[in-house]
Amino acid sequence: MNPPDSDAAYKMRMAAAPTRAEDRELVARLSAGDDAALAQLYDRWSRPVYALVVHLVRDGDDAEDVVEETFWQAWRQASRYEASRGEVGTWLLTIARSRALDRLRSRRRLREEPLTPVLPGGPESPAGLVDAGDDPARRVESAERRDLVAGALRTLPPEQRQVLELAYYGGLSQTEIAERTGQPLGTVKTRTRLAAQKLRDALALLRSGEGGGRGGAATVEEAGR
Amino acid sequence: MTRDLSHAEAVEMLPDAALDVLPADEQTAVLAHAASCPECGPALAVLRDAAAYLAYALPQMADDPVRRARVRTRLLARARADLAVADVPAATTGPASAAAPDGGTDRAAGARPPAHGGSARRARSAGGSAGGPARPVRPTVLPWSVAALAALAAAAVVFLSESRSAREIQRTAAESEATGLRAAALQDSLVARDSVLNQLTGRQVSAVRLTAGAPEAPWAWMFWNHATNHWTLLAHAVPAPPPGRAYQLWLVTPKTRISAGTFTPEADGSAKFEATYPLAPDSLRAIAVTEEPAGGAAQPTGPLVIQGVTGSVTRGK
Ligand SMILES: [Zn+2]
Repeated sequence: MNPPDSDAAYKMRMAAAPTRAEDRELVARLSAGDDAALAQLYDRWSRPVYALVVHLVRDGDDAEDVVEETFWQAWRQASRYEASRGEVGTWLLTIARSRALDRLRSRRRLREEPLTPVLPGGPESPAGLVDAGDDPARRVESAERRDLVAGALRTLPPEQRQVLELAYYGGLSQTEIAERTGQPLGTVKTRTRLAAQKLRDALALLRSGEGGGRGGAATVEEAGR
Repeated sequence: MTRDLSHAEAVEMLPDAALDVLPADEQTAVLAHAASCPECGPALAVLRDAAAYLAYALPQMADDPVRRARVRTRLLARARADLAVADVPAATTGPASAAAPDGGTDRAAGARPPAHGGSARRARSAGGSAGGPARPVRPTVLPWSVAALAALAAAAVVFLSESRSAREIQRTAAESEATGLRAAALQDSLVARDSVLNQLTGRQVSAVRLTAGAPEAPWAWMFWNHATNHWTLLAHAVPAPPPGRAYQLWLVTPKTRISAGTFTPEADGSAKFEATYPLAPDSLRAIAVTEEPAGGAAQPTGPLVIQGVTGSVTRGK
């Protein structure tokens, strides 16, 4: 059966939605120059952001810098965040990955570091990135996200999943993926494109039960009923 | 440098751009198109959002609460300094310092006098945005009053050569009143700029003086924080570049010249440029600023504006 339609998944969504609304509220306060909101947002998200960053840059000192720059960018650009375009968490993680890749790629250029992507054990891994600490609502939310992406990844053919993982978790460019997998660049390009599109469609499908769409205000209202 | 993409080309490349797997110039081109295309902009956002979900499938990594706490402290200090600078009235610290210290944001715009808003926003475009083009460094150009600039550079140099404490830097700034600087205001702004001082001072900061070798010519100090790989250029008397041109900063190593990004000075000729870039401690031979096309060049092509060689590196103790 389709996981998002299950009763358990429905309950998870309803429990998780308020924390998303809280995230959006924090970002709104950030854009008004509220540094206490920055502290709260940091406390909520620094752990997954740090985990993603250290996974990519594989160096604690670099990770510290990148995490700081990530939240600094969020602070400076909070007013550019658009709730209609995604969740606060994915916004932060997108910034974090982009900054981490900057760091990683400049380091590779400078020191000619070998490309040694570390991939996660797979989406079935027992513990997800967003462990979220003690807050039950956040833990539910994190489990929900983990299940969503695991479900979405399962819909991908293995070769598409591989390029996606090398790209996202390994921080490799298409050229580097081609070198590493021995596939022609054209093939890699086709696969990353298809993989990204499929991931998008699968997530959209799996999330369509959320009610009101992609992190928009409707989600909050429906969750409140 | 960046060619314009057609809509059809951009559509094709959006998934790759969302995953950030394109060469830097192509990534830049796609982002530029998406920024102005009513179809590609939202489509890219959706793809990015989906890609970001992949983070949630990562296994639990060893957390490092100590590092996270350290970053939290630094971050909040920066934010508070940011707010403090925003609140300093223009009259007390000179003409430019009241403008947005980070090149301007929508949030900051309302809280600050609009005097330099235009150039601040222009400068901002040199910096990365969320998921912006992959670049080795993330430059930001900050407006800065001439007085604060001079005092900061002078104070930091004194600190570097004499190993004084940060508190004494403020005193040094105060003592420089005789030279015409407005000491009280400077002290305030220095206190407000703790985070800047942290990057300019400390055991692991090198300072390089950049000059053009002529009176009335531009000059600058570059501070390189080895601990954080943070580079801060404080430049002075920099003329406005010709239309379509900008200044580009280069880190020169025995093997290559690394672009640290482009900047344009404020109306008063001052510029503060920051970048984060890891470099092996002994590999820096020189720092140079050249005039280049506004988008920057892959290698220096334009006239040399100022430079400093590592013979002039002052390493803090
Ligand atoms: Zn388009």
